[in-house]
Amino acid sequence: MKRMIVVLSVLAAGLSLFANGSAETAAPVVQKTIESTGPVELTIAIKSKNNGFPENVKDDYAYQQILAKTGVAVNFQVIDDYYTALNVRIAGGDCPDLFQCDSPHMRTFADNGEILDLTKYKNKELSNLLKWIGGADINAFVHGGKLYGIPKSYVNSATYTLLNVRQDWLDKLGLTVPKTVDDVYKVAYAFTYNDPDGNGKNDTIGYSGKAPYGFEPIANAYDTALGNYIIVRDGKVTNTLSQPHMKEALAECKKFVDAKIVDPDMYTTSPRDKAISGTIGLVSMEWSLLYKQSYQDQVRKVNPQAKWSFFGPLASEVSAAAALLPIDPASSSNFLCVSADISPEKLAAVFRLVDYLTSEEGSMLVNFGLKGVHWDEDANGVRSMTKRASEANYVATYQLLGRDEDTYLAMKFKEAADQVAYAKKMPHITVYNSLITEPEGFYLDDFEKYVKTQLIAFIYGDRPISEYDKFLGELDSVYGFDKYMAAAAEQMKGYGYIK
Amino acid sequence: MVKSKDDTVFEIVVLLVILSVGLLCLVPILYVVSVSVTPIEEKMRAGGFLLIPRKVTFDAYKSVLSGKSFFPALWISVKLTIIGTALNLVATLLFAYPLSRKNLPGRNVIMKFVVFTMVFSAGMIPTYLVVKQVNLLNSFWSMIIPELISVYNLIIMKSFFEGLPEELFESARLDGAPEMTVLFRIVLPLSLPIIMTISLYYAVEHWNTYLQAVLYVSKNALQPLQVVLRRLLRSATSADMNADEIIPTETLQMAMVVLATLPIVVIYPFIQKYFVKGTLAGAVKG
Repeated sequence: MKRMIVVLSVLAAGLSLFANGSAETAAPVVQKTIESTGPVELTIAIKSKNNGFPENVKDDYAYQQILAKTGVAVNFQVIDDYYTALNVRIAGGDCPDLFQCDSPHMRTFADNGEILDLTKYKNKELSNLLKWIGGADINAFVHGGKLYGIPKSYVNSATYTLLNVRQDWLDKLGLTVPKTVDDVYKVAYAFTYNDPDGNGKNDTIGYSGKAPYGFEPIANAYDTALGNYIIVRDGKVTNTLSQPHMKEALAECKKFVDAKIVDPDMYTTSPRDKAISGTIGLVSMEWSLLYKQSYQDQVRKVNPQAKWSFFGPLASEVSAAAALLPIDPASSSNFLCVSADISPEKLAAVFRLVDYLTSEEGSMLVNFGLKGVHWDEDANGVRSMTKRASEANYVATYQLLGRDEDTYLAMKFKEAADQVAYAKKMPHITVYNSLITEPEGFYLDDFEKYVKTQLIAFIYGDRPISEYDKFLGELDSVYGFDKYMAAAAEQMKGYGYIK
Repeated sequence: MVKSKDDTVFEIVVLLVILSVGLLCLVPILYVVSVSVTPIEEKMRAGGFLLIPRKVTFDAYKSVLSGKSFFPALWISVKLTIIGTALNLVATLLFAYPLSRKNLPGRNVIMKFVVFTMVFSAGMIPTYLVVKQVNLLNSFWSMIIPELISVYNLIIMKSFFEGLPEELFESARLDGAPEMTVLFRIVLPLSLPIIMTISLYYAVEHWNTYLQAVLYVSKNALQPLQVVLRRLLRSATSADMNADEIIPTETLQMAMVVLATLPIVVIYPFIQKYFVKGTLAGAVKG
C-alpha cells in the first residue's frame, strides 16, 4: 500500500512537469477570426470607475452606443495600486491595449519601449483630436521629440480655485471683502478673535486653504510660490525659490502663523468639512467643494444664515494682484498611452474611438448621458440637464480625452456659474515642472521633501527667515539644485519656451 | 498568602497601565462606530471628533448593505477565508508532519530549502509570471494557491509535532497502524490548539487579502472585500479633482469599515481560548 502511494505521487509529480499553459500558442489564430468579423475589444486600464458604473454591460448605455457607432467594445480594467500593478502586468506580458498614465511615467515607459510612438499619426488619424483640443500645449505628451501619449484636453484643479469668505461674518463684524494681503490678515484676525458666529465661544479660525496650496495665495501676491516651481521670468528659466520677494512672502505667512489665525489642520485635512460646519471663515479652495448644490445644502443645514462670497487674487506692497496659485499647463495626468504590442486592427479601433469621443455626439454622451433622458435640446438648440441627469454620473469614466470644460460646467453646475467664471478668469503663475526630466544624480523626491519641510520651518518659526540664502546654498551643495535648474534651462530651450 | 502594601501598590500600577492601554485601543474603535451612526451634519457641528453619538441614524448601513458592490465582495471574502483556510490547513499539516519525523530521509536538506524561501523571495514580477504560466490569472484560485503554505506557520506546526511524545506513535505503529492513521487518529486530536491558532492566522490573512487580488485579478466580480473598501475610501480623497463626483461621506466610509471588520470581531471570542493556548505551542520550551 505504501509503495503504491509512493509510485503514484512520483508519477503525479513527473506528469505535472508536462502541464503548461499552452493558451498563448492557441490564441492568435482564434483572435484573428473574431477581429475581422465582429466588434473589436479594447482593454483600457484605469485607476477607478465613477460611482454608479453599471455592473452589467447591458445596462451600460454609453458602452452600447460606442459599440454601435464605432464597433469598439470598451473593456475597462480597474487597477488598484495603479503603477505597481500595471508595471507587473506589463512586465508579465499582459499590457492592456490602452492605459492611463502621467508624464513622468510615460517617459519611463517610452524609454523601455513599452508604449507606441504616435508621432506618425499626428497629421492624419489624430488630426481631429488635435483640432478639438484647439492648439493647447501638447508638450506633456511628448518625450524626446516624439508623441507618446494621446493628447487630451485637461483641467488643472488650480483653475477651479478661488478665495472664499463668509459674507455673513464680514457683515456682522462690519468688514469688507479683502483685496490685499493686509486686508486678509485683518479679516482673519477678526474672524478668530471677535466671535463672528456670535455663539460666545472662541471656536472659529480665520484662515485656511486646501493643501498643498494653504499659504499660496499669500505667497503668490509676492510673485512667488511656496515650493519647487520652474518658471520663466524675463526670458530666463528660474525657480520660485529664487524669486526676489520670497523672504517677504515667508515673513508675511509667518505673521499669520504667529497671530494664531491659521487653521492648524491646514496641511493635513481638506478644509471642506470645516468650511461647511462653520469653523473657518476664509479659505482658498476649489469652487467644486463649496458651491455645488449638495454642499450648499449641507452648509444651510448646519447654519441657515451662512453665506459665502468669493474673491481674489490678492495685492501686496510688491505687486498689484499678481496671481493665484501655480498651474502647470503642460501637466496632465490620466492621459492614455497605447501598448507597443497592439495589433493593427486594435490600433484602428483606437483611432475610431478617439474620433468618436471628440465628435459632438460622442462628447455629449460621455459628458451628460443620453439625449432625451439626461439632457435635452429645445427648439433653439439650447441644451440643459433634465431631472434624471444625476443618473448619468457614471459616464464620466468614459471621458478618456477630457472634455470641453466650459460647456460642461455651464450645463452641469448652473448654480455655480458665477464662481466657475470667476475662477477661470484668475491669473495664474505658469510653471513647467512636469516637462523636466531631472539629471542623473538628482533625486527629485528628496529635494522636494526637503524644500517643503524647510519652507514650513521658515513659516512656523522653527528656522529664522534670515537663513534663507543659506538654505538656497544648501540646496545647491547638498542636492544639486543648480544642476537641476541648468538641465531645466536646456530642456526648456529644446521645447522652445525660451530662446 | 499575606499581601504586603508593596504588592497592592504594584497591582494598582499594573491595573492603571493596562486600563490606559486598553482605553488607547478602544477609543479609535469607538470613534469609528459612533461616526458610522451619526449623520454627517451632526458630526461637523460637533467639531469633527465625537465619541458618544447624539443623534443616531442607520442610513449609512442601509445604503452600504443595499449597494451593489458590498455583498458580492463580502461573499468572495467569506469563500476565500473558508476554502482558503481549509486548504491551507491540509497543505501545512501534510507538510509539517513528515518534516517532524526525525527519520525522514533528506529532512535537513528540505528544511534548508524551506527556510531559504522565508528569507529570499523571487519578487513580484517573477511570481506574477509563474502565476500567469500556470493559467491562474484572473481566477479565484490565484488568491489561494500562490500562498498556500506559509513557512512561518509551517515551522510552528512542525515544532509542535516534534514536541509530542514519541512513545504514543511507537505504540500505535507496533499495533500495525500505517503512518496516515497515526496522523489522523493520534496526532490530530492532540493538536487542536495549534490547528485553531494556525487556522486563525490563515483566516485573518485571507480576510485581509488585498495585494494578490490587485495583482492577479482584474475581474470586478472576484474582488474581495478589502479591495472594494479601499476603492470606496480612496474615491473620497481623489474625487476632489473631478468636479462631478459627489463624495461618499465619512459616515458611509465608517459604516463600511465596521461592516468589513465585524465578522472577525464576532468570531474571535469563540476561538480565543484555543488561540491563547496555541500561541505558546510553537515556542521552544525548556
